[in-house]
Amino acid sequence: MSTTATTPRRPIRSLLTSAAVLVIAVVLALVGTGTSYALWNGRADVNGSSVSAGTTGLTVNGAQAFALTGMNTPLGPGQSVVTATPVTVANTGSTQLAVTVADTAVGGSTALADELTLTITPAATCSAGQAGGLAGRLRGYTTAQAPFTLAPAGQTGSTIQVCLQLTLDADAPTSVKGATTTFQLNLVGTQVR
Amino acid sequence: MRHRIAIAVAAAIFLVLAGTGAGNALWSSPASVSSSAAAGTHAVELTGVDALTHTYTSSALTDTAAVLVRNAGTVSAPFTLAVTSTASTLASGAVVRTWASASATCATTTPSTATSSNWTNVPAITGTLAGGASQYYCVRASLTVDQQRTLAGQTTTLTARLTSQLGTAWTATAGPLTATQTVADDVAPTTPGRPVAANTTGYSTDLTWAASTDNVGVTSYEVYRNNVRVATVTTAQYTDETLRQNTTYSYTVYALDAAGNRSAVSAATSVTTIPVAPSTFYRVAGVGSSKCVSGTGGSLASNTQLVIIPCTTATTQSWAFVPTSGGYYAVVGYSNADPVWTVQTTSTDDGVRAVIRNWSGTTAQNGSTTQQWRITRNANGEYIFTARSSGKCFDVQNNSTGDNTPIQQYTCNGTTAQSWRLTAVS
Repeated sequence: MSTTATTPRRPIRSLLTSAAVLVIAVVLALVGTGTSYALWNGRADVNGSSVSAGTTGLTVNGAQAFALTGMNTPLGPGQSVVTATPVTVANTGSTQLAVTVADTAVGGSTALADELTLTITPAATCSAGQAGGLAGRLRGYTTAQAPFTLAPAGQTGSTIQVCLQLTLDADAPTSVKGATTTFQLNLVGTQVR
Repeated sequence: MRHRIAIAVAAAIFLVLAGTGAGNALWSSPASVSSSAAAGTHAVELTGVDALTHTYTSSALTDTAAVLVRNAGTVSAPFTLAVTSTASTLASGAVVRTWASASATCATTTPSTATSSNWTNVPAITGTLAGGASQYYCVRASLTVDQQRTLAGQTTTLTARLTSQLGTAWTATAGPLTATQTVADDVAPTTPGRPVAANTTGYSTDLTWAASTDNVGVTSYEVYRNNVRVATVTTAQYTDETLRQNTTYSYTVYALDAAGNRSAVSAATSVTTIPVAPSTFYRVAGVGSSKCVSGTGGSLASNTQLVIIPCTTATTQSWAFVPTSGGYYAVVGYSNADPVWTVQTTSTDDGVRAVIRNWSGTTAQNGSTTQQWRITRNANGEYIFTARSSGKCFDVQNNSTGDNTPIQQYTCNGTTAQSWRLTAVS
């Protein structure tokens, strides 16, 4: 009787033991690496019941796609226009992010775009010609070589204020008079290891 | 057995996930900023320059114009307004002030901050205007009363150009716009001198007068006879050849300049033509000798020497004065033919004899200027006879009083040898 009574429990206990070993292995592996996995990149959809690996999120003035106004003040050669107030880039996720302008797309008059220089300067207030910015031609503008690091949301350093300045080249040809161009800065916040 | 399998699987997973560290990727999130940019337009406008067109007069010594500079583009742009002028004493003499004005109404009193120059060196007006903005600049030019007098007739053409440069390639211009400034001559010439008559004949008189002066220049004189204009001349002299004998005339003169300014009238002078008439014969007696002109021996034959002899009532001493042309006369003897006083040759030398020859005929001397005389009176009312061919006077040789002293032509010298009295004989 005791044999009979004991025998059925052994497979169950064995299965539980095996499962525990697997879970321990997985946890150890994750803890050991200190990284998360692309397959788990939930951006917003990481299942709470799965591994609690955190979230990522990036906004510009509170929106994922922000339409900036006030930059279309007509420019003459050598003249600049700068945002009246800084643009706030915020990390809304729970992981530290390195933020860059990955690329810039232009539309409308590309001839005008090719005569424009964009300067992005971290600053609390904006003024024309302020120093310390990252300057480059508008078309194809990128800051990939000099990312901003944002702490997770809720922590100090989770946001950064930047000023955008556009300058029309002093040698801009007369053919661009009256032209307009549109542009979109594509920002990417990448998790910091 | 199951434990071994589980351990093996766990080990494999651990090794795969953690042992290599490869095959992992980082989380990322996108965001974007979109906007637009625009290049402006660039243009400038200049108006009001035409108001610089001005004629300075004694009652309009100042000209003020409000010139408007406008940025007709959409971007802020610097500008330069330059004013140049053509060379003249007006351009270099006018005082030109410029200043910025809040409106098109320029202050009556020129601000102390206004620039000061003349038209040849007006400082460039510079500034920067926002797109669509404009700015008035007052330009005031003035002359003094004395300048208006001395610069009368002067003119200068002003040219205004507005330029704007943005960068290296954007250039906007307005103009050139021009305006002309002139100085009116509203000053009359001074009053001419009183006319002086000379060489008055029965039909003509020579008038001269002291010339007028003018701030620009006297261009003409108007000659009035008995208050009727008879001539306009460019010099201070006039010969009136349309007179009647033994008639008194009053002459006055006005001076005019190119602008039409007319002087005050001169003092009047009175002229009386000599009382000779074609139908009247006269004895002609020398003032120095009191002897009368006659052909030698009373002859009126051709080439007879004219001499002085004691005066008688003989018709051989009777002479009539017949006008020819230009105020000249032929002096004709009492005869059925036409013997006249004649300078013997066309020579203008002193001493050429005066003879009698007929006016009519086929020789070169018949009817020539050697047979024509201007008859004038001197201050004593005595007559002077001047040969048309030589301009020399009918002269008693050596001012002698002897009978049959020859008469010749001689340089006019105002002596009694050349002065004669006329006495009508019929």
